[in-house]
Amino acid sequence: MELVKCIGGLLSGASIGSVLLVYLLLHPEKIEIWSSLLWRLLSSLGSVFKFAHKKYVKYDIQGRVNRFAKELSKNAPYLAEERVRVEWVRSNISRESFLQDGRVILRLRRDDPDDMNFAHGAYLFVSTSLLFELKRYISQSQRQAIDLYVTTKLIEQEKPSVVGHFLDQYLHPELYDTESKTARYFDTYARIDDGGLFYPVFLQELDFLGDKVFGERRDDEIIREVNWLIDFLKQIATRTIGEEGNLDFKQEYCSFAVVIVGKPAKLTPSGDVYVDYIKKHLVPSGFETIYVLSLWENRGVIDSICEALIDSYEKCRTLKQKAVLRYGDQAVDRQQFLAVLRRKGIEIFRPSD
Amino acid sequence: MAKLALRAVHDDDLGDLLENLGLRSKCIHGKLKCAFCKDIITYDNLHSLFPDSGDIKLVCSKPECVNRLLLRLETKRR
Repeated sequence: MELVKCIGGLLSGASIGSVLLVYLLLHPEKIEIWSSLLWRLLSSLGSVFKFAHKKYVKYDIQGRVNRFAKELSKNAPYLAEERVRVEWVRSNISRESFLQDGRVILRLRRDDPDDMNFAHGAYLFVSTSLLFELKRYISQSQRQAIDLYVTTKLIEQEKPSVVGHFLDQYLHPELYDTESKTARYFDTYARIDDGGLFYPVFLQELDFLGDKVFGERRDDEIIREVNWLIDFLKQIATRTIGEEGNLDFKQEYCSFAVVIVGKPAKLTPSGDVYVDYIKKHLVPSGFETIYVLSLWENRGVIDSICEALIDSYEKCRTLKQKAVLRYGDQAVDRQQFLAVLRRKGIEIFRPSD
Repeated sequence: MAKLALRAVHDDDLGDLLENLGLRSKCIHGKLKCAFCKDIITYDNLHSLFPDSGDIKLVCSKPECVNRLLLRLETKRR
């Protein structure tokens, strides 16, 4: 009996170990974060463990940036196609090899009380990985504000204590520059994000736009269209519940409509009023993407709407997210449900990881 | 899953790296300038290094210079 208990104990120990191993293999960024904590602890033990600081910095940047990217890949796969790897340059590299290699080398400090190593690594990663096909075609301030906003979100999530230092260095000087539009864009992006439209709609549309214009000549028309897109989404994100307004955006490059499901008088389990509207107005106009948005509790209605449109539109992604909704003067955090429908026959849509 | 290599040098190796690139003495004597703002580069304000037209350029840690570097990298990546 004792033997059976012992074998049982070993087996359950082994199975817990296996589960843990599989979990860690599926979440390598977690191993990196844990190891960064271990290396940080060692590096604080004195000069014998001086080498540990270098390992701490490497795994801290990799683990946290990759965790953010993985998290984001559920909603915004166009950002999260890449992960970061910190690669130490050999200190004995020759001048010739350095010139041939052609890549930038970021300096990471030993004395870093404000944790700016992490902020610089994160900013560099976001700037070079996010929407890089599109960046050449939009204005410098539109681009810079996107990079600053996403990096701020990354730092906010992974190292909140660093956000203030990062913004002090990179955003606040812009606020004092009356010529700079970066701070204004940053503020508008924050409003669009409050309304739950920054990653799933704004960056998604920019990604589509990037695919369309990549390889073409730069054109101010694209910058103007991105400005209209920003104004359009800001107006939706800040609208008061019940307020009517234009929800269609059809320009030279972007072609989408937002359908907000929620008016009690129109709300039925099948969503037939919305299905009729989409079939009558949006399908004939050939919108490439339809974003169907509602409160989380109405997700069943959205599913029915998507089902009814299956001949013309493919449901590519759904997501649950928090958004600030305005009821008169009151702003309330609510859980929303969003479905992204892509017109059939349009080129490949990047699915979530 | 594609990985973006972020090339970096830690302070522990910075002296040796600059020595091998022939820049250490220049850095100590204040003879290196930021590629963008032309301020003198020191150990305190060095943010990054990059090759350009057969030469090694250095960038100081001023946000506007870092932003100009990022713009350059984005252009180059395309």
